Amino acid sequence: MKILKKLFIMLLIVKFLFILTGCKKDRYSIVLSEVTHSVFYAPQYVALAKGYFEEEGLKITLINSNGADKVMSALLSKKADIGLMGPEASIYVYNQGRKNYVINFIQLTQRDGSFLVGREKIENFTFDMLKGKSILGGRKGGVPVMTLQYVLRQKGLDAVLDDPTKEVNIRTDVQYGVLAGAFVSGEGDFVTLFEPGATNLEKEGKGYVLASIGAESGNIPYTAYSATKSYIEKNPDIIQKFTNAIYKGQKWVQEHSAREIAELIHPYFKETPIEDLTIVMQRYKDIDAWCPTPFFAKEGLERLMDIMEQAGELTKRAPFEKIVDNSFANKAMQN
Amino acid sequence: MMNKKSCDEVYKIQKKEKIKLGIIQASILIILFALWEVLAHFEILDQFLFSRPSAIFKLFKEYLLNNELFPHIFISVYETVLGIVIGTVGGVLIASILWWSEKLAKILDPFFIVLNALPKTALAPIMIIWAGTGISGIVVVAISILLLVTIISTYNHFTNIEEEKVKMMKSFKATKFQIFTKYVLPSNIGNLLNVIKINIGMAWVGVIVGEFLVSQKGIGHLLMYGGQIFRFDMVMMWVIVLALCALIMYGIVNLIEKFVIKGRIKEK
Repeated sequence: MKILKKLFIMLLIVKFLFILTGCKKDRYSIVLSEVTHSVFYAPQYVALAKGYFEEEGLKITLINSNGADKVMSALLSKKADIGLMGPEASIYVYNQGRKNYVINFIQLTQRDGSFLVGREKIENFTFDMLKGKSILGGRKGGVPVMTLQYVLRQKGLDAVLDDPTKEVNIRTDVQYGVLAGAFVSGEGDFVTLFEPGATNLEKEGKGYVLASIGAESGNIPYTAYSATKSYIEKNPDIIQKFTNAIYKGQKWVQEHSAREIAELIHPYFKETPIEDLTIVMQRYKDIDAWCPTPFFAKEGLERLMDIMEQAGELTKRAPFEKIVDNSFANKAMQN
Repeated sequence: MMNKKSCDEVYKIQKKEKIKLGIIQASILIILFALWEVLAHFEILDQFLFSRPSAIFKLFKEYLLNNELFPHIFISVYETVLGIVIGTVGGVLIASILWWSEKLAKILDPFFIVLNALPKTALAPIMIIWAGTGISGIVVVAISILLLVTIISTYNHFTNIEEEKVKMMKSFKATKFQIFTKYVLPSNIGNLLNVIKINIGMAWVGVIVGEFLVSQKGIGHLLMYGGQIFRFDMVMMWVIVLALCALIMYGIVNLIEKFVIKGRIKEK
């Protein structure tokens, strides 16, 4: 009996310790879930490398979720506090009538980050050279494919998904991760790739960047920071601190050269040499891919919904006022 | 006469037992689904993440009425069956060759062990680039997952035969080919059917992984698409359809097994 009593007391102590450490969890240490680990999100890595989050008193744990659906799941199941993904995710969730929906509070990128890559170098490339050709565009239902289709249609081309009889055939059977490999092995006439994939292919002489989809698409909110409605309501101070830190990163990116950005974020992308990273940074600077401020533009969201509508993936538009909150961005810019 | 009666009785008891088992299994399933529905109704389970049985059933009906269900099921089942058939036949063939030449088996043994230990699903993207996008790539992924296991387990079954019988056949001047076709292969039919049963599951893993990467149709394609457009009810529905397909395939092999065993009893 004595042994049992001792055991019981020990268990109590252990439990108590757990409760104590549980309480100690700093509410300023937050989990940030990114949709993919990409150089496209340079301002975020600048903010991390420069210690802007620490300056604001935040401790960031960065997790790569590989896909907007997983980021969203992480947010809704409270595995993550803040998510970085395309705002289309919040539109879908809002449209499904969820009470605790997800609100965007920082726009990070304002262009499609993908580039059209062909097998040969074409001087003076124009989009009507795509007539009768097939493009590997990524997966159906994804914003990159929808944007590609939108851009081609804007150029007056009859671009259709998976139909070789039409003017331009956008193939959606190949997953993003295998696009470059499939293209090199002979699939498709053209391919759309993100960086540094496009630059890598160019370096190997297997493909040439012909155009930026983002430069043609106009301003669209491609990636944004978001959190659930309840989290924002409960932790406005954290959201404000986070917004301030990202804004500092955004400013730094605007004020520095491609080379300087490349050198700073290189530790986060060790597999890409600084020279290549510089080329990529310059490319994104050229198309003005990064938002200069955290402000989320309304016309951008409307255009994104136009793009989704023309692709047939959106049945109902979501109200801007509900799924975007610019108050934190405005405050950050005032300081 | 007496004997036959008791035989019938045993058969009846067995049948009763089977029905009982079936009822228990069915009720577990029903309880699970009911619990899921209730928990989703009271918002204990997040509907967005977990969906709910009634929504899934509604979606299923919709797909059924629009006739959008079977083209996808057909293509995935086709790929799976192709993977099972090629993988199993190829695996058994290779195992037979190994049985034929013990030396070859000894030489290749470490290679098989290492190849079997490789994470095939992680290598799927490379395999698909080699084998081409489309059905060929998907089937290759499926085969890669089940081939080595088939070879290793079949070879083990082939070598675990009664040496006495082989000796006896040899003393009657049976050739190696005769020993194989008259004894080794027929005595392992049951084992081979078991291998096929295991291969069903593995082929499905390969097909879904392959379809995640490259596909225009199929269950894996829709699982992917459902995730892209945040329709987790669609994802759940296709997961259930997937389970049903695997179950039916399993049932078919079970039926074949029954016939084979019955046939062999009759032969004796």
